[in-house]
Amino acid sequence: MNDSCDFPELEPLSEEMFLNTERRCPVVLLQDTSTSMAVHIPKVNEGLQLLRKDLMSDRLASQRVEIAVITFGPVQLIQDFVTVDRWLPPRLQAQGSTPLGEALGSALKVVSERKRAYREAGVPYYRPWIWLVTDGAPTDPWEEPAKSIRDEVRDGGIEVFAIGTDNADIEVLRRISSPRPPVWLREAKYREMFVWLSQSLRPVSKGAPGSTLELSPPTDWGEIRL
Amino acid sequence: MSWSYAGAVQAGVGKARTQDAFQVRLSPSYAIVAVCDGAGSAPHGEIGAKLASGTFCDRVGAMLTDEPLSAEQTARVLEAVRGEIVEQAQGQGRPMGQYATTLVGAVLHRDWSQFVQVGDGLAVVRDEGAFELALEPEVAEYINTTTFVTDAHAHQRVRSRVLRQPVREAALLTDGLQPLVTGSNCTPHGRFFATVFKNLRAECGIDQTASDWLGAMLRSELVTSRTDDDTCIVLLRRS
Repeated sequence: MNDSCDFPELEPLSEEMFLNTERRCPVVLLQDTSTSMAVHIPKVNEGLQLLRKDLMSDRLASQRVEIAVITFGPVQLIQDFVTVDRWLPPRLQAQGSTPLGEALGSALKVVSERKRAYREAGVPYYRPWIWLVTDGAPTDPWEEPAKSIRDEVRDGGIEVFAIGTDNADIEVLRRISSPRPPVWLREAKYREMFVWLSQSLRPVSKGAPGSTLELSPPTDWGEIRL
Repeated sequence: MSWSYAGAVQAGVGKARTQDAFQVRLSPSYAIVAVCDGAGSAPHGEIGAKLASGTFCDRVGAMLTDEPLSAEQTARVLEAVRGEIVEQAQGQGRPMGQYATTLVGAVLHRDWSQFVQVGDGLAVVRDEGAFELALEPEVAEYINTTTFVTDAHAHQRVRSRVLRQPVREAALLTDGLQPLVTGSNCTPHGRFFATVFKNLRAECGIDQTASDWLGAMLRSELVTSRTDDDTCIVLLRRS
């Protein structure tokens, strides 16, 4: 039904009456793809498909959430930021070591470049998320990049989530995600984890920028390691 | 002197019911209006919004003289709003936070106008010149979201303003429409407000056609492609 036809006497509705409310909610998926991940990679790939599917079922979220994918190692920007409605999840493959330090630096770099692009284009944005998943201990210097991440979190520039599994070093993750505790992934529940990520992003991408995060506990897939 | 008004409320995309509500009371010498946004996270925000808007209009109407409400009277009105919600919550054996709602209220008098606000939402006014915000927006806090009339500290967060001049037109709306019709620093988007007021044509009382048109506007793709929040708008004009 075309509602405006019901009011021939009145001023018609027009696009010009409304301001553009374009805004972006950037998320970096920082995914360990070292050799030891080989057995789990199909589940990660499935999880990425679910993440897309769940976000696509939410029209505004699919236009506002932007995904970038960085894998390590070696560290590669597999997908630069793209809104979910234009994102085709990659088929990741496992290879190499676990250069976590370099990966963190790379994530910070793409986030800061993205923020600059938003500012130049005048697009309002939500605080970017970095979503780190690793199954092993870092094989490169990580303390300096971890500190840069913590500083950025402290200054309110990013939200960081660290998820560990198998042989991950929970102490290292704690140093990265502080003050938010890391989460231990149970039984390779990557599907559930990515659905949780989607469900958490959906309200964020519609709220007022800067409002408090209200996250449900990750009970379906992980344990918070305080 | 008389007042005409139009208003509409619409549930956000995918929601069965709206949690926004509005009330208008007209008398020969003044108009009282309130719009309320029941918190999406509050299970009974819808009831909270209805109680708050109704109670505000009733209490203000009962107190009003030819002068604006004093700060103390405003506090009593908001205490009464809170009291109604407390009573409802207790009657149902539920915590009061389940009825959380914001409130933007206005009293338009021949010689002055008064605006009262708790939480987000917007009141826009025009006499002869451009549309202006009646009240500065709530300071954006990075930690907190908004304030609700049900909050224990709500009385400290009330914003109130008396304009000692007549106002010809006033629009009140909840935060759903806000980013679509206000620009940077919450400046009212003239094209929007000019168009909606052109369609308010009744001489006095409710303008049903304009109300229906506002409802159609809130349901239109122009609005729903930009927000999936509940939306509510009320327009008033003195004639």
